Amino acid sequence: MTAQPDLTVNIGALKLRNPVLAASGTFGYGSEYGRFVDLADFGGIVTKTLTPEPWPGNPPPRAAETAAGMLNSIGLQNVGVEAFIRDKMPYLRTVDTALIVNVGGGPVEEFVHVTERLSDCEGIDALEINMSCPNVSGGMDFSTDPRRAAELVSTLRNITGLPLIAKLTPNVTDIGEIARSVEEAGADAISAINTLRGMAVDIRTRRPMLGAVTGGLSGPAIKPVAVAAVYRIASQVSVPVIGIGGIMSGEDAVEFLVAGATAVQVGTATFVEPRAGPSVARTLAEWCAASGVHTVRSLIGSIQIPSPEDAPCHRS
Amino acid sequence: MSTIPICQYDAEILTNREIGPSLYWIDLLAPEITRHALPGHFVHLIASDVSEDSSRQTWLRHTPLLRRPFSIAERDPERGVFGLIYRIVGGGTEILATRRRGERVDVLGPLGRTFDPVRAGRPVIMVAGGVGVAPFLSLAQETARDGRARPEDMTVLFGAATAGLLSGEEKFREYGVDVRLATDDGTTGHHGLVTDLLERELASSPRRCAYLYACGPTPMMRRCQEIAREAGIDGQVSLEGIMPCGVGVCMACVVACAAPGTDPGTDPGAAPGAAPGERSSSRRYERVCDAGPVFDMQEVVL
Repeated sequence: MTAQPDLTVNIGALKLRNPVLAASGTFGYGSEYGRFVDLADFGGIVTKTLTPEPWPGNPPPRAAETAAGMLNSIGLQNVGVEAFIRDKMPYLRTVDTALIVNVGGGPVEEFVHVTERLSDCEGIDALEINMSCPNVSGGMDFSTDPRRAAELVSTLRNITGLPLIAKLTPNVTDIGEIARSVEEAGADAISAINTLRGMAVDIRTRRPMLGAVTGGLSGPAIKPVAVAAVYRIASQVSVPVIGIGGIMSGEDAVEFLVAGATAVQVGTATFVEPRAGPSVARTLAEWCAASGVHTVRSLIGSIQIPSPEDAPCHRS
Repeated sequence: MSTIPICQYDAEILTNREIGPSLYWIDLLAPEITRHALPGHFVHLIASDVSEDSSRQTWLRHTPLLRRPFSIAERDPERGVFGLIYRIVGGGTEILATRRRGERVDVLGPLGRTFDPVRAGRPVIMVAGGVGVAPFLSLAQETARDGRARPEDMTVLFGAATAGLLSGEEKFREYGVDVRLATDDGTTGHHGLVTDLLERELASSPRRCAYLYACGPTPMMRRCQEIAREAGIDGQVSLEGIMPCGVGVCMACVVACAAPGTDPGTDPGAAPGAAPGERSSSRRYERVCDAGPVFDMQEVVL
């Protein structure tokens, strides 16, 4: 048996005990799963997107299961930043894991308000900017336009000293271009991907399966799209990339790291198995030990792309 | 939030048998869940096989992906066994029906808000539609067991499409509870809606009902709300929803709730011109898994 592999990674100034985070929107405010899952087994947790005021969310139904995945259209239902600071932070301060708080809003001023309130709040390690929720109308989608994405990030960069992680949507032509613009604007890291826009129809009633008609697709079905996005982003920027999309196992996490991710987030898998995050971290460590990998950091971006002369010749 | 511990089990299947057309009863060995469960609690389970997979990685199977929620229908604390009723309605329940005695299913529970108990001197009616009977089997069993109220103070009105789907009726009789039946096709009991029975019961012997419980198809529960409102009777409904997490984090399984001071008969989600994600002060959504599945009768907009 080899020595325990070193799982620690750094997201800018933020040091994580392992590269597995709980994804925003799939882990509430920590206390729900904290009732029966040890949150110290995570590298960190990312809480549900906060807006300045409590937000009611979209009409139900808000979820539908699809092949190897699920659609959701929650519409950012959340308690609002003040209730979060008052009611959720006292518990979260007691949790022995990195705390990343996800920030959202409609107009830029709302992101600014939430960021200002959280910057004064003790116990928060980083902010993740939800620039890419597909389920809210009104120009929420900052990450489809490189100029607007950069404006939002630089505005927030000027008002907070906390590490800023920009969470990007895959629903663009070139996610690499958006990634470059948010890096230049001062983002410390990039999370990718948010959900893919999707739709399902009940053919019996001919109605959409979601009350909001379309929603965001997550789960194993989107993993190859996410790996491609991480690979593209990592080739374009030098800040760390946090890979998200259909991660269910340690092997999945290795795939993301090799493609260029420094850390990963586990989301939909947690609904299936509440200990999915700790399980991914544990099986990642087992894989490293079995493969002679002493530190997960050596995996990051270790992808081997064959040169054209090595590639097999395809004939049609 | 409840203080009852949430347990996760690879529960052994003791029986899994067809009790009607596409209707099944499953008994699961899970002592901790059984010990803590109260009437109205549900469990969230993975239908796929976990018994042949010692590494506990069976949840890596991708279709069907999510857990499925089921109300607890019966409890045997001495043996550590609880029972569920389910009907085959899709991929998850189809797989569950193929599972055999001795195999295991991954179960999370007990979850959710439970029923107010039946109290001595407060006669109740339970209106059950189809598999909506499950939580009332549990409520009747616990009431008969703890002896705090008399079984004679409970009446069950049980409706389904056809006689074969009225499984569980005999258990109520075992518990000493009065049962009236209704079927859509007239194969047994009243030929018509179970809510007809409720109206008839309230008209003929109003003192038999000081509190009303309902669980079943949405139109049935909506009619129960109307009848209860007209009769001035309090009560509770038990709901289901598309429930990815089951523990209150994903915010998917919500039901619209009446904002305080508004007419509960109007849909708070249907504010004029309210686009998805738009703010509306009259709108309030509660999670079925966490605030429910049991809600006060007039609290939810169905």
